[in-house]
Amino acid sequence: MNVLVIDDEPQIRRALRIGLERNGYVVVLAATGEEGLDMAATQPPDIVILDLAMPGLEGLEVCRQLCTWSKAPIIVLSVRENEKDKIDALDAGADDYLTKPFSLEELLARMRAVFRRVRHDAEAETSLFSGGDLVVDFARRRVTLAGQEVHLTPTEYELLKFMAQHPDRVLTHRHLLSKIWGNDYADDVHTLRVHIANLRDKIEPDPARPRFLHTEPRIGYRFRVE
Amino acid sequence: MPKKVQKSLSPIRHTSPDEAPSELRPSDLVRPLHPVRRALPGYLFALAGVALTTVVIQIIPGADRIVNISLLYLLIVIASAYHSGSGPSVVAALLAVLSFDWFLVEPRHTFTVNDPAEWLALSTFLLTAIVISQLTQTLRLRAEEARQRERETSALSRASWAVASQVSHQRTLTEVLQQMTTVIPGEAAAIVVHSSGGLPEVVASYPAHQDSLLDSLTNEELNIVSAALESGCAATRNGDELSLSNNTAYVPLLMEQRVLGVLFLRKRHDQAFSVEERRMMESLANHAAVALERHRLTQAEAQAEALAEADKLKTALLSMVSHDFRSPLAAIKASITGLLQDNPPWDPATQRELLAGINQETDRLNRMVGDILALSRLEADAWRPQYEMVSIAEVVSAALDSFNEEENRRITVNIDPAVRYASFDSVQIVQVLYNLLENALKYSPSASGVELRVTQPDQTLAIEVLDRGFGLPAGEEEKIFQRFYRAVRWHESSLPGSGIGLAICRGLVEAHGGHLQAVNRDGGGSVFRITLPLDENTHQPDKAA
Repeated sequence: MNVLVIDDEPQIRRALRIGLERNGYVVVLAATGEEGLDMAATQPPDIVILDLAMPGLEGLEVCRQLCTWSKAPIIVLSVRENEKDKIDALDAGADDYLTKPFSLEELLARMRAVFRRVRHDAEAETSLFSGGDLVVDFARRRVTLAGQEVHLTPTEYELLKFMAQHPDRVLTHRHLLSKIWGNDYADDVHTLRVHIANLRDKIEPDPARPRFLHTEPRIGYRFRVE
Repeated sequence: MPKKVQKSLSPIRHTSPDEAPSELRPSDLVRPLHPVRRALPGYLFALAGVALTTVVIQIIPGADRIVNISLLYLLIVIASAYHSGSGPSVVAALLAVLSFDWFLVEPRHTFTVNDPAEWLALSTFLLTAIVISQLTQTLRLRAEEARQRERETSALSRASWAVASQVSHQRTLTEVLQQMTTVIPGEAAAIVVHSSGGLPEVVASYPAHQDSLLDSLTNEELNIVSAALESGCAATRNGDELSLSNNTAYVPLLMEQRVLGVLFLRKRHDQAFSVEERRMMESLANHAAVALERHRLTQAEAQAEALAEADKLKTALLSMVSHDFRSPLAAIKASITGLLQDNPPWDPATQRELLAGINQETDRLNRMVGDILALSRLEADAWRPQYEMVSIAEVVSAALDSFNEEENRRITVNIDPAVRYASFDSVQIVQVLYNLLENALKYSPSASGVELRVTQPDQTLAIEVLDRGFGLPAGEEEKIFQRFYRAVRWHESSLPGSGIGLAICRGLVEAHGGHLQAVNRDGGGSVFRITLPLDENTHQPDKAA
């Protein structure tokens, strides 16, 4: 597996190179956005780890450009509290994000989740999601929890279906809203919150500690499989 | 700060020393103490004038036969009225009638008048004389009042101008007091405020330069001043803003129900205050209150500015902690969590590489903490270079030590062989060099080099950091040295930086009496030039910035 690390901090590049190589990845390093784009073109990576905080060509711009011609999933790194950067990166096509400082395990876990999802996407469209007690039967539009049928409104069902089809992936508010409600509703975060709360009441064993519908504060939601 | 006693008061200038204005007004509360003794010269003048006129008429041959020669006496009546007022002029009129009758009306040397026409003439003369004396008197009062109004208007306008134009509240208040004493003959005047210690403090006094007015006050006066300071609001509630005791006034200076101070005035004569004087005092007290309030607001504004500055510093520090500290922390955490994965075992070389990285990043964090401390000293304006003779080469190598190999490969050093030793604070200059080099590395592409050049032109030490980086944004060459300033193009960038490094550099260099400037370099990039005086005697901190 080829990993392209784009980060202007030499120490982080070094730590990631050593840590990732030790875990069986082939690591290519780039210190700037331009260099990163060159590397991605010459040695197509299986995954890109991209720092948003870089001089010169910004991480966000690199992310946008990469997504136009590369299929490699992107995990962005950010030192900022600023959620806007992460949302912009996710909306621009990044698959996940990590806030610095992060542990190597965290990064490895995110990479595994991304790879799993890529494989999942590559497989033939599944007609069924099953995790724990929850089963979503996309063919019959039926949701059951421990064998009991759960009654969902059409919108709730569409929301759950979309999230279950994109497991382990941060879905921004804007993304979910424009997919389910349409572009005109892209900023209506409140509506989304209400529907998520209703869904949790119906499918979560403990709605206060959701197992499936995980909140990414100020960014969006993530449908967790594990 | 309380001032020292000086009992002798200098004479007070005012426009009409002998005629107290209150004598002229119907609204006087108290008349002068000895009205008869004061008026005596007037009566004597009337008597002498009438006698002289009579003598003149007697001496000049044939004068007594001139019709209406009695009109000469009117001159004396008018003069008396103008100079001495109503009483003496009436006396002059009566005396004139009597002496005319005695000396000039047949039969002479008796008061008997035979001719009824003479009776009529004498009565008419008396009536005319009294009317004229009253008219003259009124005219004189009007003129005097007009002069007084003019003085008051002039005093008020000068006081207003002082309030509007003076920056120092003490000078304004002194001017207000001075204007007051041109209108109200005061022996001593002062404006007393609460000092920060809670004690009464004289901020302005008349006569000016009097060392201590507080000490010249009697205990009783001092008590009233303190009471007025304490309870100015109460005085307002009672509806009596002026607490007057004989010839002394204490006027609370009020602004929106708050007592800002007390205006104290002791009159020169032992006479109470007229309504006009009260009005004048109140008006000038308002001027003084405005000046005091403005002073208070200016102070509050300065305080607010200081707080805003402190707040800005706090925000910048928070952003620095959350932003800049995360990068080294991220590297350290990634390395350590890597090292903690001890299965399979690490080979010693890789392990060492990671540990070296951790070591370097902790140094970097430590320097950031140093920057924060330096910034707080910059805030406190407490740079004190500790001068020592040091080798330039050593200082440069100390600064280079802080960079890793990769960064050192990008740095070229050129030191003029003539430059060997200089006297400065080596710790501070190392910090300046480090900050400038780090800045140059940060703001230029990783492939491009940075040059450190040391030369010695004209008895100065010139240290230049030259890069081929992004250069300085036009028009921002000076702004980059402001605290928390980051070039516009980096605002939205994620490039770490809190905008304090260059401010610290300039502060340190200027503390050495040197200069730090930045210019764009021919062919791209920028040059940061430090000029330090080599002469040891020029170690004067430069406060130009």
